[in-house]
Amino acid sequence: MAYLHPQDSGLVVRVVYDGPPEAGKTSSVRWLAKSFGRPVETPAEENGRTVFFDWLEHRAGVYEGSPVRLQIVSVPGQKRWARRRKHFVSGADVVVYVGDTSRPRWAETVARWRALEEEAAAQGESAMRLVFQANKRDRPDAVPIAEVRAEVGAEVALIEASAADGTGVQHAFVTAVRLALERTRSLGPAEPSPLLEARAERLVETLREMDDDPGKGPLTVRPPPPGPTSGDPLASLPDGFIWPPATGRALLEEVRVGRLDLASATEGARTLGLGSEWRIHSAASAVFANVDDARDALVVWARVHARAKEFLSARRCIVLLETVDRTWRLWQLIYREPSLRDAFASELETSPTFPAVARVEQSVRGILRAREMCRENAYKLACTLDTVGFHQRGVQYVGPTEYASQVVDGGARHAEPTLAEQAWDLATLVRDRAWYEPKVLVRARAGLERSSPKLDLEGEPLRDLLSRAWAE
Amino acid sequence: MPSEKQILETFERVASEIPGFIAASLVDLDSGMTLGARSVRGEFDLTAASAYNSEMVKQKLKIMRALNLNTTLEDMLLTLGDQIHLIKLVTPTTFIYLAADRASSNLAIVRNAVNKHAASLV
Repeated sequence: MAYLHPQDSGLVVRVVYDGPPEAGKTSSVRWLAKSFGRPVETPAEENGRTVFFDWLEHRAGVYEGSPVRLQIVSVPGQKRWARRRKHFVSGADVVVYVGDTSRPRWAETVARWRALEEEAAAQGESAMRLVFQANKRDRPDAVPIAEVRAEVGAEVALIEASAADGTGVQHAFVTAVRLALERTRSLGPAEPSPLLEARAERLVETLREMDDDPGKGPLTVRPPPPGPTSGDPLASLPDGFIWPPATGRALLEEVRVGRLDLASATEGARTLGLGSEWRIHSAASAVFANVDDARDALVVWARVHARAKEFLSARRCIVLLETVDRTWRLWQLIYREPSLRDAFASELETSPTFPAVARVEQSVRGILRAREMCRENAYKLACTLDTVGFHQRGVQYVGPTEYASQVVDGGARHAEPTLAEQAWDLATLVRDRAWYEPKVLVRARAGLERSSPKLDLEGEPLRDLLSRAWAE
Repeated sequence: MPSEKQILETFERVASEIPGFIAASLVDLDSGMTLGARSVRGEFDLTAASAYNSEMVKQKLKIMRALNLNTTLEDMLLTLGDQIHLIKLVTPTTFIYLAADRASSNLAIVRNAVNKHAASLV
């Protein structure tokens, strides 16, 4: 239920993405995050599936003089996490139901939609609003849209979409926000409460407490060993299992990573979020059967970091931990420094006179400089809007380093998007912002008339690219 | 790279041959990581000492390159008021860092014991 935040008087609105498993909920939220230039917090994944939630925050528009703060959450679709899903859905202002409209999954999509309608009906007059995002319209076996409309009903907002490439996602989202604000106008904002105000990290604890099957499943917290250091898997960590050796432990204390379930034996890559400040990641290939192999890998990876130390953001560390099934896993912890995309999006959102042309050019030049540094020093790091940021001395790499054999064995690094693609991404951010603030695009076009950026992007002048991106 | 067990066994033998042995570690030069360590003094922060000494070795190698000294760095001896510190390059990317009590030992004993066992840490 939307409420006015007691500190800044902003209206906090919760938009929840619900739907069957693998229907495209997480893809939709991630697509929105990319277009907003914001990070998505995902406390845990299991083989690429959401276990708790995906959490995205965004500021957009004004409600009766108060800025609107959107909490965009996608819930787990698997039935075993039904209580976690219910927690979010029952508190939503609006639910975007991401329905898989491919023929094989259509029956399940309809069944779940019916259940959601019943949940909404049970809330009476204050019911959450619903939007049906008819997803996977790009599939050749998608059911005809008339059939979808017949099931959904004439009164419900129905938007065709394909979360894989972002088609219709923004449209569904904007519709959802409008419905949520209409609901708030008719009901008035709620009183703030600890549950409503809880942010991502606190919610993980709440969801754990109400867990569906305590004691089972891969996310079960490892039983703490007896003694004064119980509950913190790092307290007994030997020296030589952390890099940087001299300052790594202090960084870990700052993260207070011991609260997280780093000892779980989940297979595959794992990414954990802790608030909005730290990113914690372990690659699927960073799991080892014995400690000697794991330590060799840690040293090799530490050398990669040490070699690129001048270029990497300073607050990061690598740690080697034993899992509950007695294998060893390497973790990477990185303080979330603003990337070029973050800085661009933040200024775009807050500055009334945002110099769009100059900032696009500056950001692209930042990527260019970072790529030059990588070439000069043989760093195998993929430099993009999301992995490079500005700092006092120029550019720095703020993204995760890859733990994979190609980083150390001389193989090719991951493909980098072209500079033109990156410039286009930024130009799109400006366009998207214009959904809420049309003047942004007007100013950007006027800026393009006045200035003449010199940068040439693989054959196309930046000026021409921006003209195309911001065309009527 | 020797296993941690092999490193610890080697340092056990080194410790038994050096009166006043305080601590020893095998250190990765590039990253400053300790690959294995043995200490008889709990308050001696061997991890930090190893990491900072790796910076010192790197600086020395840099100086040698700047002076066009076309030779190798074998070891570095540091004499403190009450301790002897020895840094012995084992391979181009690893070194032994050892600390001993100056009152109970001397440079010759320390150097002899370390040189004798360094080959087992290649």
